[in-house]
Amino acid sequence: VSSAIKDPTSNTLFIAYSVSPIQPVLLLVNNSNDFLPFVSISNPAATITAATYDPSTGNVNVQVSYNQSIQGQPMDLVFTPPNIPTASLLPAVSNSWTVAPTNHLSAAFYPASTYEQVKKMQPYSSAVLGVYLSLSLVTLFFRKFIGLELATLIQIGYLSLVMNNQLPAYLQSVTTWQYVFGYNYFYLTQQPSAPLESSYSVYGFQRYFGYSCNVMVLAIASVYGLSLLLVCLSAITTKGVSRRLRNGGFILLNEVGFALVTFSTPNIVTAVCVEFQAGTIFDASLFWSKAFLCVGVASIIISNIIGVINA
Amino acid sequence: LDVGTFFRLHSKLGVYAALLFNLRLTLLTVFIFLNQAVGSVSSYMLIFLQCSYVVFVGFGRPHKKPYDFVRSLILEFSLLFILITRYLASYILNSTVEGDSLLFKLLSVTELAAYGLGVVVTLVSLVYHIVKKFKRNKVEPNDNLLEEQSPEKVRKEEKDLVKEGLQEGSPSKRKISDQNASSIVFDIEELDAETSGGKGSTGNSSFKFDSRKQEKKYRRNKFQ
Repeated sequence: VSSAIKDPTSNTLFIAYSVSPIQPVLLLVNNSNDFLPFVSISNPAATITAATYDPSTGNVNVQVSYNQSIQGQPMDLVFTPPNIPTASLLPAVSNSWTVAPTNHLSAAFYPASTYEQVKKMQPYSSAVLGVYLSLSLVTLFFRKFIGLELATLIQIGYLSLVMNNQLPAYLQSVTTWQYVFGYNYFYLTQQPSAPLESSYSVYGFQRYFGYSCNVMVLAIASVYGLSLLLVCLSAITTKGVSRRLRNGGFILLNEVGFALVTFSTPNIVTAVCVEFQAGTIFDASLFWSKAFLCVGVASIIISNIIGVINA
Repeated sequence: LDVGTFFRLHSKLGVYAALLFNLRLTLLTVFIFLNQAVGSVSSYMLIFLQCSYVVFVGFGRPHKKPYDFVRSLILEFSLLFILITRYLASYILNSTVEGDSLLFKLLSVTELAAYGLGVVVTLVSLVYHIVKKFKRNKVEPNDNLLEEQSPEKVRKEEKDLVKEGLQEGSPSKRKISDQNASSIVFDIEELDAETSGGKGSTGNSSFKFDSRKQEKKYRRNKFQ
């Protein structure tokens, strides 16, 4: 099982089975992508509603509905070959798996009324995220600490969801806050195909830092670069302008730079920890990703050193 | 002196607010990451760390204004509540209570309400400070015109400013520079001085120019 996603709005699981090699199986099913007639599940509380082969990922995606809680229970997927002469000697193939959705939602059975309530919470949750991001943007320039205190509450609240491997239905709306660390979906190269085997894959973290934290690091680097440029320009301009440029540079560094770094700190620290866990921390094959990592870590150190100097 | 001012002045921790804030944030993130490896120990560390920060906010008093203090307490207690809830859910409730029980619903709704409350108090706080700043800017020119002050007082103030500002490498000089920079570039010097309670551009300054005229006069004296 490469992934098992619990649908936040129904008693349904989307399970992706990685079948290798797939070619013999495809031959047996006459190159059809519809696997529904050939697969079944041993658990009586669960029913397969769809099973298709996706050539782009090489996975067989199985959609399972359940009418009782199946969290933590064994689930055997059985592939029964079609009744054709070429498959007469092939036994049924099975795969055993204990139900634990990879998106941390509990595969508990909820009545339809509960899902209705969950749906009603979604707009509220989106509004909270929207106002939080807007406030963060405004407080970047005015009253940075107000915004950073709120950012800490929401970012740590979101990150700490990973501690609970069976989230109740009512918290499902929070799991959609993927922009809580700002926008980080700017990839300079295609993502590595191997998925991250960590709970943090739920949040979109990848094996390499550059895929988990990019645009915000670029923003931090830009602010620091601009402040450096202003300070350098102040050395070659007239006295009055020079003073303004230098002070402007320091303000950018102390205020906007500090706020941006603190806002991105949980994302940077988690991405570095994920690299350690995945064992890619010393892998320099993606140079740009390592450059982003160095900038991210250096910015945290610099902003804290400035904090110490100011204190 | 009220209790808050007393604590802030005597603890002298306000100037380290930014540093402690960042350190706490980094440690919280690391402990959350370590949760899968070390289990409940990291939950205890998370709760202990957050409790320590709440104590710092309560007794170190990095916030000058009572409203900022209350806002900060609300946000920090909300985070503490969320961390305790995570611990309870992960290690106790998941194994003893059904997923669709009323307790889970209550905890989840309370958590969502805490996020909403955090957003509301932050929004109100921001509007309050911006309006206050706007009003002050409107009133200041009439109240603090250099001409309206007694010449002796102005002369004495300028003397003090020059004395402080011309000390090479002294922190006061840096404060002067940052203070001017704030008013020139973003005009945010007062805003941060109120929240961080620290020195330099992110903290409170030991003096303030009452008006542009006073500032210009100081500069003229300085360079003469």
